[in-house]
Amino acid sequence: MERSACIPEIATELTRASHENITFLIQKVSDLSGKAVILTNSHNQLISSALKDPYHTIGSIMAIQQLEQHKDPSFSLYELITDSYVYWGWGTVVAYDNNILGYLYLVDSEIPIMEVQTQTLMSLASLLIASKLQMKLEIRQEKLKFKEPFLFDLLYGNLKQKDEILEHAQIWNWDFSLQQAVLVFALRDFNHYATDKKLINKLLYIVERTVVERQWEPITMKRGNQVSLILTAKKEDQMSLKDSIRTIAEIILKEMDRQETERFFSCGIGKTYSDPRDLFRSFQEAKVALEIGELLDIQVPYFEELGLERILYKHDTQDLKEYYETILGKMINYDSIHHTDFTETLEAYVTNQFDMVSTSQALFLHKNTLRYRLKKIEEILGYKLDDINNRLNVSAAFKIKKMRKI
Amino acid sequence: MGFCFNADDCIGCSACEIACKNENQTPSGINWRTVKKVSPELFLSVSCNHCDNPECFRVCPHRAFTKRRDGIVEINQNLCDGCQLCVAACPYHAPKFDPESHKVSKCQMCYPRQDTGHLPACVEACTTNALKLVNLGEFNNPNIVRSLPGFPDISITSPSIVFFGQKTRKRYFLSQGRLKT
Ligand code: SF4
Ligand code: SF4
Repeated sequence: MERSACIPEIATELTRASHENITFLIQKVSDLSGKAVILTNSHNQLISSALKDPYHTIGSIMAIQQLEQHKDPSFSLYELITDSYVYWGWGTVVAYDNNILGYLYLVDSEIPIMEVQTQTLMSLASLLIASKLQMKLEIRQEKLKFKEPFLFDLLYGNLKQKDEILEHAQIWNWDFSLQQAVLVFALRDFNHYATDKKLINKLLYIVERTVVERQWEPITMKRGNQVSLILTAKKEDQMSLKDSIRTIAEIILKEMDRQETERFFSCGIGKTYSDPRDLFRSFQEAKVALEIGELLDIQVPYFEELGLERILYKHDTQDLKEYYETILGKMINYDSIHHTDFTETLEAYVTNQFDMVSTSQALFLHKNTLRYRLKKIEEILGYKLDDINNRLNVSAAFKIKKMRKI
Repeated sequence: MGFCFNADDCIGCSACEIACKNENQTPSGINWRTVKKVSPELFLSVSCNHCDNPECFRVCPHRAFTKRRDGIVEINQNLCDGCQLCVAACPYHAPKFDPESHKVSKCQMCYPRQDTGHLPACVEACTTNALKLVNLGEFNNPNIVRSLPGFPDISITSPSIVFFGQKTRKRYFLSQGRLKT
């Protein structure tokens, strides 16, 4: 009689506590039972704990072993090995609508006796915790729906608060606290037909598969003919983010190339930023790199490595034409009148970093023949090719040509 | 959302320019939309194009720009310190610097009007319907082109504007009181 009289009291106290957060509720269970309380999720990962010693904390649970079942099958005796202590105690499942959401353990440093009152307390507490966890789960699922809009806002600079981004990203376990960069992949000559849309889905699948295989979170956004990917630095990774990015980009492009031999896929890479509020810059940079990379046939173009190219690309076409004419015009004229190919020779010389040996190898020419030709080229052009300024001019002129600006 | 400009229909009346100025009460000397005569027979009406890849946005050190989910590129003047990097980065000269307030402003595609179901002021004011608002994600017409002669380079920024070019017009002359072709 005495025992049953105190049940309503427990019930009221627990229900009242359940209006607060889970930690508070767990603490209440601990106060009422005089035992330490541990709550885990369905994978036995720690959600919350209330220990008797306030200086003591549990970092993680290493192992949980079921020792024996109680005569009421909803309870069992367990041994819990944590990163700091070993506990023994009774556990029960926390379920909502037959879905297991977690486990609740009442533990001590020695095997506790199971009393009726503890049993009632645990049953009631697990019900209340279940409804709280379910609510959390629903909110989480609701938030998952917001992944696309979140990524859009992130990549278009609509989120101005760093904390807000970090917190929001945690819903999907994305860690933007270290460093990150954006990669953009695109299908060239895209049209809005269903077949091309399917190809973009395939690209998205390959991108996600490639990063997941390498233990990366697939943070991706599909838009038009593009798939964007955010790669975040990992604490334990030895390789620099930039190098990992190159490897991943190459693998993806190679795979798409293998699967879709008829079509052409390209990519561009933005700079690495440590503040997630700057991801939109990386995104825009990646798109710029992609466009210039396509023109210059650079397979994996990094925005930060495109210096002169970017300036030339943005510059007024007429001006560039005049510049090109001034630097190479005489030689192009000469070639067309005399049917010679000095322009080609000079271009190879530039591509091979003005190195005689590699140029002669590339052109299958004897070094002396090349030397003679370069001399002739200097005569036609009217300037010396060993002058650093002239070299810069010639390189720029050939870049202009390559960028189809001419 | 984006603009669709029909060069054939534009008569250069500047109604769009005036409507924009009126709606947004921009300071004197600052026009978010301008009508330009690029050749004897071609007018262009240009504002911010709410680019898909906005360069204004990348260069701003204060992250003053945002792109709304409907595509509108906005600038938050409170964040702007007037460095004018965006002015230099935009190929269409859309961001306008006001020396008096020392801040930049630009066309916001009349989002307050759009949010309440109205067309942007310029589009509504266009006397010949040359300037329209279209959903570029769905708008598909074989005759549209991405650029027109006289329109700045569209590479990189991918502006949200499409055009109908000029058709070669048949000319009619009045000669001795009769209509001749
Ligand atoms: S038109 Fe200029 S200001 Fe407008 S979005 Fe494009 S780059 Fe930015
Ligand atoms: S002028 Fe203002 S909006 Fe433009 S880049 Fe500078 S701070 Fe940003």
